Amino acid sequence: MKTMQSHTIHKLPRLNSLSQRRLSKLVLPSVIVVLLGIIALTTPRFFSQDNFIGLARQLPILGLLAIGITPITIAKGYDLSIGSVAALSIMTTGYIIIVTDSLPLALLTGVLTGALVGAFNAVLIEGIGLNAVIVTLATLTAVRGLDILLVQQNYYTFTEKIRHLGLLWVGKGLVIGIPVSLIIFTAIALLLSLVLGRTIFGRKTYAIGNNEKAANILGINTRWHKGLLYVLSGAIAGLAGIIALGRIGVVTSAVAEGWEFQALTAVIIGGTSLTGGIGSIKSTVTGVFIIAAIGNLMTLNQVSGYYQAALTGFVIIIAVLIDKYLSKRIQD
Amino acid sequence: MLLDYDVLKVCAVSKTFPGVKALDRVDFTLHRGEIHAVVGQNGAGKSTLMKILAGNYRCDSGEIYINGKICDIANPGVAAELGVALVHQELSLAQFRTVAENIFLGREPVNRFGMVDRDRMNRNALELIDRLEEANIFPNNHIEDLSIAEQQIVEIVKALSLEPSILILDEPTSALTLKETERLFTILRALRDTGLGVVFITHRLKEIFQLCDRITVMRDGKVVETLTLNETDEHTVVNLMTGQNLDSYFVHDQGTVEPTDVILAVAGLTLPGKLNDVSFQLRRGEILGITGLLGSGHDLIPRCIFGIESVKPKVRCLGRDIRIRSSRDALRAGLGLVTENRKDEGLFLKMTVLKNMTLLVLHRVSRTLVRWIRRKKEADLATEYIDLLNIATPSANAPVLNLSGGNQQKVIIARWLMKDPEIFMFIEPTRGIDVGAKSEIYHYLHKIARTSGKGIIVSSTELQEVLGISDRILTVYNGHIVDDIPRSAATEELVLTRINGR
Repeated sequence: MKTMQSHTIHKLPRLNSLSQRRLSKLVLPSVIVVLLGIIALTTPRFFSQDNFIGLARQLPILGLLAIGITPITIAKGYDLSIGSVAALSIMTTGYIIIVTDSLPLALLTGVLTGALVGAFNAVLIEGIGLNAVIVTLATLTAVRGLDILLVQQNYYTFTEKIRHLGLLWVGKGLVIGIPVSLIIFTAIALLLSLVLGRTIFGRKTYAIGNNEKAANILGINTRWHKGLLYVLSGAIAGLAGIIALGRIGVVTSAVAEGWEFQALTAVIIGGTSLTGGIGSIKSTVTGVFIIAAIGNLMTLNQVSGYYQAALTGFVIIIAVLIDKYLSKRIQD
Repeated sequence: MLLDYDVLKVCAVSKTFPGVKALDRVDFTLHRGEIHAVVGQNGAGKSTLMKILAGNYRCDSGEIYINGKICDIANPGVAAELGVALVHQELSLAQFRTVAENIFLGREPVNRFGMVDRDRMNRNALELIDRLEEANIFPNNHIEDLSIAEQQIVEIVKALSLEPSILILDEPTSALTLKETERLFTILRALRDTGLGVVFITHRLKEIFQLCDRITVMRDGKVVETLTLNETDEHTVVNLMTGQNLDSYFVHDQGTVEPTDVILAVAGLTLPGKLNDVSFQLRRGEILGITGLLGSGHDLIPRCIFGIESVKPKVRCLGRDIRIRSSRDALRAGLGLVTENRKDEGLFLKMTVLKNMTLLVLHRVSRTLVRWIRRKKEADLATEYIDLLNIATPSANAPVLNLSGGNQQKVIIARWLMKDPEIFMFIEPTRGIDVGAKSEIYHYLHKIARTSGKGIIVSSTELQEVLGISDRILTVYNGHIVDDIPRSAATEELVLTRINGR
């Protein structure tokens, strides 16, 4: 073609920093894994079978919450309401189990509860255009208030009746030695990972997180898309609530408190950026393992709950600092 | 030996970044009282050199003399002390502060109570502004109330408040209208006559010949040549920049567009306060230029038609009447839009070249039911267009962030070529792009219009560009289309007169 001009050939871009980026994305998790490895080696009980099974049962709840907010975080949205949402799902699931004794109906209710709160967030944030952090913080508080109200109204005094066999199976059961909850978590993680990584829906999610304005110009209905991601994160929080109910078996008003921050910490530590456009389910799962291991090691080493809370807070700050540093490096 | 009029002398300066030699033994001198243009394509090393002078980078080897003394410009603070002031291309003023507050940001005069002495600050600011004989800017004006040109002048005042001996201006005119550019040039000439050394970086060669005394051409991190401007011409400079003979910058066929087939008709398009009753038609195979001064609204016309402004226009497109409520309607109607601001509205910077290109055609490379992307097919498609448009990228999977401006623009054009709309609209298609890539893009526009019979709208403030590629030029003044000039009648003077509302 006549229009081809060879002079652009010599100006190859400065350097292929993708490999560098991949590298820097791995730095944080690797450092933490090595540190945890050292602590784990000095904690004999860590490598016991009991501990692993305990971990494997505990992990899916945090895991589901974290992978649930991963897509919306990639799309540069924020969902901080999931802790209360999971708690609300615990209430509604428990109520339906008590009233109808039907597991499928209870499961459906739990997931729908979450989806509904997600839809509420979506309407306020994407429909009306309110700030996502403020809306979901407000939802976090408001739904928690609702939770407390429901418990105080004595809807859940029949704690022994919540020990529904099917529900217990979801929370604590084993299939060929593997916890059912872990199977559910793995399945959802795989599914979401494929959706994000391999489908048009996933590609659009990344595009929106990168540049919402440009995505809109290319005909992507960004508000609708992000709205769906809020519903998704709510629904998965609902599912996490169901598993939590099966595991704990009792309902208290303080259940699931602070889970949203643990989940967010896992997401950020894994490498999903709060500035949007970067991240994956795989990295969130890494983050979940790290957070769960930190908690487990602290418990095994008899660190008091107060120190645990303080340490988790510091981990969040460090994670956000490193996130900022890395995204700045990418900008340069 | 250093002559006493060399305010700045750069000797054999080199700088290497991982993977690339950004500067390779660069020599450069700046005389006292001269305006010295530095030109080169993107990636030629201009900005690296300027950043070294401003203390943002340190050179690996070589020497820098300022006023005859060897210097180590370790950081921007040192640069300021040494008398080097750099005005960046992007304005960096605090929008909600006053002119005086911006000029003295971080070094406000204080009274004996340690509080900011506003009166003194405003007086000092006024003195500085008066030096430029600038009558329309006052120290207590808020930056947000000033025009871009006035903000540019405030930036220069701010730089001058440090009493520099070297003033570096990085593309100061890219957002200015012709009149404002003239104003800026008058100021720069006055500054030159006070003995200041001015380094002027621009992509607009014409301005250099209007303003500058000498020119240094850079290519691939080296200085190709330094010339005295009245001994050279534009053609020579372009050839030095590209390292080859580019004789067909624009496509000069006096193309025969048969004015038959109207594919887009806009009637009575109004955007309150910005556009008033805009009506025009676009024909198959035609390149329609729309131009006007900055703020005239010429760039809003394509944006409105594409449904990304606050109106929902009704247009006749390919024989059908359509109301365009959003970009989705526009896409469905067969329209395409390459927006002006690549980084803000075009690119997905953290995504790869490949993913940036295929966003509009993902359905074509995926299985329908679950919309599962076939990666092989997608990669093949991207590779095809990387070759077709001659995009310089290490691979389809390189981040688009690493590409030069020209290649980024080509990625966006590739995206739309894949989509293959019937009507292509471009806003400032070559802003911030080097000469070589510009020429290539002009050839593509021409090819799209002529061989595939599409309609093209190019909205641009670059007169040369509009005159060079359009079959017909619409001139916009104050939100109105004031004239419709066919190529045969279009001269620079006529278009200039029209866009100035005369």
